[in-house]
Amino acid sequence: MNATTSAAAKPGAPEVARRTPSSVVTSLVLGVLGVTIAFGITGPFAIIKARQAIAEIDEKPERYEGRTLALVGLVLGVVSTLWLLTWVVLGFTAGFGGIDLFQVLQTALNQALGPNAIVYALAAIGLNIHFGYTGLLNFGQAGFMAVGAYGLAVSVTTWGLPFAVAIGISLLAPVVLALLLGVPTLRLRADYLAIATIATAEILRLIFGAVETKSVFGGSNGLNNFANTFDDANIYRTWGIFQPGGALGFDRLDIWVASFSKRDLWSMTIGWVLVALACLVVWALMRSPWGRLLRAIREDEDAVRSLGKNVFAYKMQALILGGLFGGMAGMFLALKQGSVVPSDYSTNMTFLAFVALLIGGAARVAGPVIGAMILWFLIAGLGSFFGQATTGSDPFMPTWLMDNTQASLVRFVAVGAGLMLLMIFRPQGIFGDRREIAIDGR
Amino acid sequence: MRQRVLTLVSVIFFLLLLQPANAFADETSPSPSATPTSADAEPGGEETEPAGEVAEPPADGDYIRVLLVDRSNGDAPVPDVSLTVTDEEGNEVGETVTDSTGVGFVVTEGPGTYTVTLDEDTLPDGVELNSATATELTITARLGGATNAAFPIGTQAVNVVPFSEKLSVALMNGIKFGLLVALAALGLSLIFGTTGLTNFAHGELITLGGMLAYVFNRTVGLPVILAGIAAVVLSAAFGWAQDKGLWAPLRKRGTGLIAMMIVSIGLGLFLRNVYQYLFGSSRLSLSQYVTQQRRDYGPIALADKELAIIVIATVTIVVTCVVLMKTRLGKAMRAVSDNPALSASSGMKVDRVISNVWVLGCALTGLSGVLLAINNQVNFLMGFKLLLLVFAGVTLGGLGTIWGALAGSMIIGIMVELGPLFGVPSSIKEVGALVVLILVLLVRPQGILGRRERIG
Repeated sequence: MNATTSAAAKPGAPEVARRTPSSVVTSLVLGVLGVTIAFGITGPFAIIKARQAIAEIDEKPERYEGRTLALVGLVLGVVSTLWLLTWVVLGFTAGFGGIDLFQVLQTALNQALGPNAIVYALAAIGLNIHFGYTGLLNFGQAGFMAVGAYGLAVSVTTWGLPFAVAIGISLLAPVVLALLLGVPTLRLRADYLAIATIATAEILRLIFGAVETKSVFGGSNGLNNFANTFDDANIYRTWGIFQPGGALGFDRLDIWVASFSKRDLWSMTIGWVLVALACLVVWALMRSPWGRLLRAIREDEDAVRSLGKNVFAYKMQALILGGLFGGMAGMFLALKQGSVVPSDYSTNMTFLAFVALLIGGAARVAGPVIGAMILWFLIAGLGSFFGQATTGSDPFMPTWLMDNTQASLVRFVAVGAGLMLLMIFRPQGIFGDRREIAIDGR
Repeated sequence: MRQRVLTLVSVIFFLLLLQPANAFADETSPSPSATPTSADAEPGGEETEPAGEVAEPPADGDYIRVLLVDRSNGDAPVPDVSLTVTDEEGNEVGETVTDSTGVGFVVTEGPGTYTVTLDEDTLPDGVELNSATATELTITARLGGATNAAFPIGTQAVNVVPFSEKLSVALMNGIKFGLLVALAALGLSLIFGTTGLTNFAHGELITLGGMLAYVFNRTVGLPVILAGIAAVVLSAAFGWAQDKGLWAPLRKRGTGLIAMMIVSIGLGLFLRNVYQYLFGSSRLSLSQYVTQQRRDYGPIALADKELAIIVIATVTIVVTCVVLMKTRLGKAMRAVSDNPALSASSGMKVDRVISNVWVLGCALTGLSGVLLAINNQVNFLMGFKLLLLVFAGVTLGGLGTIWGALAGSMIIGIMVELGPLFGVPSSIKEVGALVVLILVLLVRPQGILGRRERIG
């Protein structure tokens, strides 16, 4: 007989103030959003939450109230789900308000599989080692990416070095940056480390883009013409089997919803191989004693220190390894677009990589990869949807509400709001374990 | 306690109203007569120098060819001036420096509307833009290939200033900039001190002040001073709402500090894009005090608005600091910042104190944005660009200390403005401040006025 649980239900026990479960509020909010600005997308979630809430209330009616509100949430959820179904069906068949949903899906899928997602997957894998496994809050991943990209571009374009050497320099540059950055900052508390790294990334971006260093870094126009070797190695162009007329010949890959040029396909081949290798390395390292030590540092630095381990050295190794993957991301970005532009490597890039990591789940090998794919699916999908909704002679979206320029901003408004909600309600992302996320601060 | 904050805020506004009223009163309108169309302007003379090479147009692709000519000097080309090209969304497309024939090329990504912005700092010595000249030119590139555009500017000769005078001007600019950073830094430091939150959305609170001032001024039609006051009040209200709606519930849930930091990043990203959604990416001007002639005050020359900004900022900072030092409210804030649990157990309403801190912090930050809007223009990125300098100021002085935030911000502001005099390229003058930030962390992470235990 458990005395503590039955005490509350005992007749004559002091009346406990009944409260509304949080899921009621959630379902209401989702429902209201669904029937208004979210075009019904939140509807199914509102239904799930409302059903949860009702179950919760019915189980312990003496502790919870708000059943009516939960029912309202349920109704709103059903209405917006119906709306969602209506326009999705219409969108695929008749074209709903001039919006071709098939094209939205195609754009979204292309980006989720395409080179952009690879860049962010690699950057987020690096961040995963920093933040997910070691608990280092590196907000300067864009800086690591920038030195990786510029290491390649400057070596080839400015110094005229061979491509293979340039790749080596591109991989060496983030290691050097990690060493320079780590010595002063790794002993600091998390928020100081965040500020120091974000400042470093900005310093690098400003210097790379400065007029005064134009002869080396190309100013704000950046550098190009360094990726020829990469382009020439494109097997889809050079191998006879892929030429038109060959056994697997094609001009442009078109499989139902996916459509890629040969150039993108080549980038993707290299990129996904890199991502797979990076995942393999992370997987192997994190099940080794070294990886367990990193996680121990994340959980309790002092305990690890008291066991006689050199915490600083391990943090430095983690910073270097994660920075290396960041540099690889920058290098891949430079190769796939054939140019480096300083404005690409802004703080927003770091933040987006963090979003990718947090969506998938930190401290999981596949988390950053899945996260980057989902992030780009959403970004591209929203961009395409609102782009279509605001173009044409009679746009679906009234122009006083949104014009074409504003349409391109909606996705980033959504990313910002999404990051907040994710961090508040599910900081472990899709695959993560809440106990493994270093978010409680020191 | 809420009443006290309100009283404090209203006292500050009252002081604001009193101090600058006469300074703002006599705005010198930009009159064409003030523009000497002198033929002896410098650039004509410099043009004959063989130093400048002639730029080649890009081999292929789309580009803009800008010809910079000086209207007040018989359309003479102006060399060695930095031009920055941005697209409709405010993203930087490229930048160029005009060659000896006044021509610069920028590669673009095809047809669209581009804005060319001129960097005034790179004009030849002894020449300033006259007041009738805009520093921006909008170009519509309709077809692919080359788009030609002439960028006429008017210049006026100014005396080539001796170094001492340059120094005093830069110092004054630095003090002004430092005070603006200090206002925002005070807000950041207060919030950090009491809640431990490193607020990455703080830059957006600065922008909010400027944007609200713009809305009240242009959309509602209030005069700038009233609009500014309304903007500060609404900023304070936003601070209260933000705490009540977001941060207080998170504290109640026991959300960790790093999680809150990441939430603030999301909030910043969200607000930044909402600002751009609502106001576009161009720079917006308030209706009054846009251009003012400078007057001489002994060794220094200041426009009236600059003087007003310096006075308002100084008075606000002093009043805030005195309040924090002397009153019970200030004592409560410091107690909560030292030990929230002990404060709560000695009967303080910790949540109430924190809410007040948010109100006060956001009011100060909003004021910084308003003054920034009066000083320059309003742009959705104005606060974000300042954020790292605010962080630098706060860190230099010591996170969570009031006087430290002040001292640090002043040093950062003056350093940023003095840098170009001592050879720091003016296009990256912020780099120095960020380097200082990292060096401080290396040598004395608690900052110049901080206490060691804060760095953990």
